[in-house]
Amino acid sequence: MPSFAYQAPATLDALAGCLRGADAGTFLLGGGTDLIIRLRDRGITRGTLLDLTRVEGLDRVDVADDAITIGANVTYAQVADHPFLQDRLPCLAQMASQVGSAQIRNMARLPGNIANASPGGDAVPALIALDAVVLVLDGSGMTTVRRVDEVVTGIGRTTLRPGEAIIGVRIPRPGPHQRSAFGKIGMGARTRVVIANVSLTLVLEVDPAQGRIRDARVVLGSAAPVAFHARTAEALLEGRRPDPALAGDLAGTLRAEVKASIREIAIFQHKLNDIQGLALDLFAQLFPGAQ
Amino acid sequence: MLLQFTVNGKAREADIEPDARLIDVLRDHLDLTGTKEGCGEGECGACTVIMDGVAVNACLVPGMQARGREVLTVEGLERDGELDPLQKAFIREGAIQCGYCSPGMLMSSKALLMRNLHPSEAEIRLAIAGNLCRCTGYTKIVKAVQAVAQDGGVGRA
Amino acid sequence: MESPAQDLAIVGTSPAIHDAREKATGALRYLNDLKVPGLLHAKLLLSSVPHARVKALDLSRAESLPGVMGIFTPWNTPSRLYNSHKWIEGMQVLKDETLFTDHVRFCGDRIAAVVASTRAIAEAAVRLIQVEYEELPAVVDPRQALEPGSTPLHGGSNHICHRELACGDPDQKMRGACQVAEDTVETPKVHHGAMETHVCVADTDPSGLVTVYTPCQVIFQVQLIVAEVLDLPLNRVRVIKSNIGGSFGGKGQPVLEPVTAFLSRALGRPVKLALDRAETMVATRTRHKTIIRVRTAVDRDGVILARDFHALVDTGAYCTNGEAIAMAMGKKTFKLYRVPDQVYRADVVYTSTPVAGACRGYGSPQIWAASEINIDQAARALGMDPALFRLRNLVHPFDRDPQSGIDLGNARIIDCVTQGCDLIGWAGKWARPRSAGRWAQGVGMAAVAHGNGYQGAYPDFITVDLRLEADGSLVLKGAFHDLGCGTVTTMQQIAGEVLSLDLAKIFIPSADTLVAPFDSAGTQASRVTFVCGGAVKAAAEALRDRLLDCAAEMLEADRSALALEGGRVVPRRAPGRGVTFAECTVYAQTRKHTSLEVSRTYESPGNPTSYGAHFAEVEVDRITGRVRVLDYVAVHDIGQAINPGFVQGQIQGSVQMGMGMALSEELAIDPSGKILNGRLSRYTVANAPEMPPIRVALIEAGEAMGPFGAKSIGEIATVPVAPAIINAINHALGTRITTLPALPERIVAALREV
Repeated sequence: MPSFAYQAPATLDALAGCLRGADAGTFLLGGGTDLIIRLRDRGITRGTLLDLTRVEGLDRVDVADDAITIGANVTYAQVADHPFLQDRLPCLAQMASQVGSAQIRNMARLPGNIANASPGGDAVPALIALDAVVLVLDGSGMTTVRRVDEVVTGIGRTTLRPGEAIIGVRIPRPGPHQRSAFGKIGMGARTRVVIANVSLTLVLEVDPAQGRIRDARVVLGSAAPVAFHARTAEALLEGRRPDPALAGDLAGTLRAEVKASIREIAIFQHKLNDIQGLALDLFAQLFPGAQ
Repeated sequence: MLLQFTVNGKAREADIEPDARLIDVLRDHLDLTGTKEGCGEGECGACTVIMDGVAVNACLVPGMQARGREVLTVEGLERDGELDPLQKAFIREGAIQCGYCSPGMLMSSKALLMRNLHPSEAEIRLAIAGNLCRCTGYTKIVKAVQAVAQDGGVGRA
Repeated sequence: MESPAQDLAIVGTSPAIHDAREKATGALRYLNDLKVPGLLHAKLLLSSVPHARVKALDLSRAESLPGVMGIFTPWNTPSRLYNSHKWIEGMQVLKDETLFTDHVRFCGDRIAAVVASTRAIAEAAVRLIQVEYEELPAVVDPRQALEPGSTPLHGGSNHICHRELACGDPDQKMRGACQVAEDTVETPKVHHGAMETHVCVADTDPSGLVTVYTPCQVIFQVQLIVAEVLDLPLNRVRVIKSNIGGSFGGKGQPVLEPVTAFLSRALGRPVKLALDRAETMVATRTRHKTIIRVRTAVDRDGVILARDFHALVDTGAYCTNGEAIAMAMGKKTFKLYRVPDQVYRADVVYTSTPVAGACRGYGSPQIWAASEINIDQAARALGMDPALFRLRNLVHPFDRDPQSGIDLGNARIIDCVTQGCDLIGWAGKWARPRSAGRWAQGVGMAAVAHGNGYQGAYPDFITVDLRLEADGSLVLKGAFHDLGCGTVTTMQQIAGEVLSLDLAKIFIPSADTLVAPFDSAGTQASRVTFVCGGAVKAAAEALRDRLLDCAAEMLEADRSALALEGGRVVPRRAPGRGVTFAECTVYAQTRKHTSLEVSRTYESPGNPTSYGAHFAEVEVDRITGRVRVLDYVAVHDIGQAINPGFVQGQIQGSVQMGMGMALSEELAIDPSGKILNGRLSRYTVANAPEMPPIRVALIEAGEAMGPFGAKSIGEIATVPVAPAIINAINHALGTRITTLPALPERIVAALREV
């Protein structure tokens, strides 16, 4: 029976060395929650398993003045429970707390979602909304910085090449007036442990003087092959004060955005209903006084 | 490949294929069959074990990732012939019917109580949201965890 | 809560299930946990197309894989036709199944099997088999299967049979009625969802004795089918029930056993065939999908004048018990309401979909979904409270079933409904004005009936043996199949009550055809407590007689002066004296040259009806169509709960199952026959956060025909759940949803029609 080679580099240098020798038969192993299933589904019984989880230094959340860097080995559970992220990047912590079950959250990590580029994934839309970049190490030992929305290009497609590994995710430090929220409604009529039928990430600021919204970022997930900015929704929110009318407008605008994306595909039509509900829910969460 | 790790407090080793899953290592190599496979895709939670203090799906953990780590399985809950308070509560409250989900339920509950001695009912349900049961409707399972939580994790005889 | 005066010490208490400790420690071994020396591993090749002839199989690459011990195809295996539903010789069944087939009839049909030294090699080998299909048109919609032009799956037509049951003159009464409520209710194909997937181990000894280890529900059925398919004498096929991780009917028909037994015999080695979840979902059994049209004629006062049912039963690609399900559904319809003029008609069809079989409730969840959704609509059309409407029409204790003439027994459904209404606060909640905002609340209920065994339809008897050992411990042998529901403990409680003996002293071995005396029907039809429990009670009473005789002789006392107490036979007036059971047994063995053992063949004394009423309060999000079940009350007419803890457990678990049928579970098959959600990540069952608080109330008014007055609960518990929830949704929204599951998109679509 054919078999796998297994590599578990302990340092970034060693990882770069492994990446140098990587080819199409090299599978990057993070939390493993996707890889195991994929190998079995496709009957893949040979290749190289390159385990990233032993690389030292990638299991930290670094909060710096300009950015927050989340190492590739930080689990969703750790993101969800992180006090700074809960407080200042709530959409990220909320997203992380809603990924799968506790067991999944204890193993899975952000890079997996990005590299797998599944349209139903939750991390990619939240990261796009936060203008996140990924730190990509290659076999030469060089780390490049790339925007998440440039890395993910289609269903299961990224610009990542064999021999490249995401070693971290970096998010610009939020300003003092930034608020954010993430929500998803699942396929299958259950509320917990669900794959998103549609997800919504809202990131915005409310200017303290006038109480108006600015720098709104609205990203839809699971509504297209790749998560995308709902530009008309962002334009709608800009300069407005949060009030019930705005909530309704947001819901309607997002419905139209999803409609434009899914067109007449029958099995997706319920996303139109879900996004309306989700928009109202998240709006209420961000602006509890504005009912 | 040689896998060396700690299982239920004991140093164990196994010679495994690199793509062996932790569940295969436990069940086939170490004959610890308490951990069950119900779906093979991390949905049912029957394979839940505790690795380095947190609950994980053994059917999704590559065996080599357990190298050097501490794994606790349902067989490790009992200490010196004394059942864990959770096990006693499950038995006492009637939380066990066919028993297939029970090891996973116990491990998820144990992992919860290891971090949170006084979980609310909602927190308990969330902790076992990735453990499916077709027999009990979860009612008596939640009651059993609550009983242990109320006792401060010490439980009754 | 009334109950007849019974002085019970053990029956009515709630000891834990007999093997709770072993399950809690992980020590209990299920079949897939057992290590068997020399075990070989089998993997099935299943069809990836819904309807085709297999023109050729290229086995060359598979065969050459080291470790492959044999590859078995339709062309090198027995092709005897059988029907896995047959459980007793003499049953008339339609035989259309074979071990393997080159005419595949659904995605998941068995084409071949590879046996290898490891599971991994068997799996790899199956992947290497190349199949050449010649595809045929596939009929997926049961309505199409009824049409004369549909491509037949088994020659002839896809219409298997038509059945009718009737009483009075319903057609005439329907014609005369001014108000008729008509609904067509569609129920889904459901996956049983037992947490243990399907598995079987078979071993053959050099003399040819085949031993089949299987998590099953009817050892004698497995024995019958294996012997039939492999042309073996029955007494050379031994079947042993392994520990089982749930079944709910899914492991009731022998699906893997004939295949595994064959493989073992062919290779002369022990062979394990273990299915994963995806294979279990599509290649074993499902619940029958049905489309049921029901019409209920009422008068202005809310009295039901006549009812008319038509059920289209989709049995999937092979018949199995399609006809039995159709009949079972029909018979139930006459047991709930006082309707002297009613007709039930059914048509059973083949479709190119996974095979349907026994599933908890055996047609009752489907037919009662239709009945109870329609009853609500009939009440609504009259502007009547659906609870009051039901109370006006429900049967009374000791009514007779107008179709069969059977005595319904102590039927306490009216008590169930009135108590349940009380508990959930029905009147106020039903009358609550419908909310106009995003979220709407509603209440719904369902009343249902289910049987207790097979009396009147099939032979319903069991023989049990009870033997006292020389140390006073007891062995109770019978074909008891504990599925996790507490059968073993229940039987221990019944025997323990009669004999005044601690449960720990009563050992019940796992069902084994060489250990257990014959049982006519196994674990199905809700007969275990009622019939098997009745047998245990009768046998225990017979043993009690022997003990009294023995002790009377030993103590030189009158039998009537003696009583059984705590494992001893004691004079009532001097309980300190007396003899232990052990002493009696030794006396019998050494002085009377006989053993203290009895064998009793017990026939079911009747078929009373169990009743239940469930009540659900829901909240529906009008925008997303999401449903939250806020509150739930279940009231059951159970006669006497042998173990109230188990009864609660059955009801609580069944709410989870019924919620799935109502809200989220359906094996989705596209028009081409492809299965869209054959894995747990896509087939959604309720998890812990979804569950409402569940209050259980039991009406224990005694049923004379049952042991200590007991009636069944395991199946009926799940029957009212789906319609109670659907009715609550329809009440909340003013909709008329009749297609289950009420997925969010279906709810939103229904709202548009309001």
